[in-house]
Amino acid sequence: MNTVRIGFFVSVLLSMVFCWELAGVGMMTCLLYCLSLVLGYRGGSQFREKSSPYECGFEPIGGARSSFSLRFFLLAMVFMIFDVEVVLLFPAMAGMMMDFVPVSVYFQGFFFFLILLLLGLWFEWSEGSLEWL
Amino acid sequence: MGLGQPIADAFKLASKGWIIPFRSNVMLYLFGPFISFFISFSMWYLLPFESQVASFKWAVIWFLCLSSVNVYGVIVSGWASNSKYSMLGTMRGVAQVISYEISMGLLMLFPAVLGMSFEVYEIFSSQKWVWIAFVSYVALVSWSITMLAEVQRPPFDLAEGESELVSGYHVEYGGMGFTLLFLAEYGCLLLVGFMLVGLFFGALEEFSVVFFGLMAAWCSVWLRASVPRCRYDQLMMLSWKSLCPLGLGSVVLAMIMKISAGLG
Repeated sequence: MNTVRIGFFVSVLLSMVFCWELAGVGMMTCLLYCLSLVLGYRGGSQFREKSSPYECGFEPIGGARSSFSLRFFLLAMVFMIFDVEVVLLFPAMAGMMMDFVPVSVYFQGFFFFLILLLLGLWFEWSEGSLEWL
Repeated sequence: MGLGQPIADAFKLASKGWIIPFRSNVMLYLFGPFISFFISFSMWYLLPFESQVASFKWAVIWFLCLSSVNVYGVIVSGWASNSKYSMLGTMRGVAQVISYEISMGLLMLFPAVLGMSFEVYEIFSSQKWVWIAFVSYVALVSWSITMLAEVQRPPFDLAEGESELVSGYHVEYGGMGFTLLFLAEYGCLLLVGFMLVGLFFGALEEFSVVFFGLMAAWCSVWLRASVPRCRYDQLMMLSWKSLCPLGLGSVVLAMIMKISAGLG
């Protein structure tokens, strides 16, 4: 149990060392951002006119968090389905690249899968969920 | 002698004032530019430069993941600033980026399958004899269009169309928030240029990656000057009805090429 735990911590530490660049980017961003936030702060919501959202000279009418067109929601649903399928392609391609099985064997399965993807696209197309006008 | 101009510009931007918009979600409002900047500069880890500690084995997947997550910067910064313009810009931008992500994932498999690796350096060096741009011109053009739309550059910058939405999702930002959002966009643009040169033109030495990558980025600025902005429904149709089937086709093409070359 203990060795498992130690091994876990060591691997976490190693991956942290490996990700030094990410940490560097994060720290740099934090530093820059905090510094200039402190330097450039010109008042919060106490100035009513200045802090009101931009609306071409009007008084803002209503809130901005209103409802939106259903098209965007539908598109996000279509995207979900497609993205899951595309993401499924990647590990399989990785397996192919590691030479577990020859490409031609993979291709027989994949051709079927890609045809399925294309059929899904065709279905959404014919059903009209891709139309915007 | 305009060399000092960018540096002076950076100082000017950093010293500009910023405000907290009325009824905005303050924490998210402040966090949005940080997300964008952090993600766009974490993506640079995948380039095979000498200064990197290690070559990144799953670089292509890293690119795919981070450019998918990049959309959260747009969502957070646009939604949290409680402005109608930024909300509209966010919705457009998100719909655009997620639709082009499908074709990006598929088209990225084309050089990956031909190079038989997800490691960027291996894909670069697999093109010693012939560039992938010559293998399939269609894949190159679709990839360039996809990338232009993915980083929301003109002619696909519908999310920040100046004529109808004032500046899209970053209209309420000033000072460093604005700077970080813009640096994130330009960082992505440069990285995309380097990726284009590496994946399709097989630039191998650091100098040629940087030089031709900058040229690709320069071309996108050139496009901004010469091409008008397209209509939103055209943008969506281009993604779903042209690039998506083309991407599927190019994956099949790459696998057929591998088999017929007798490498499988």
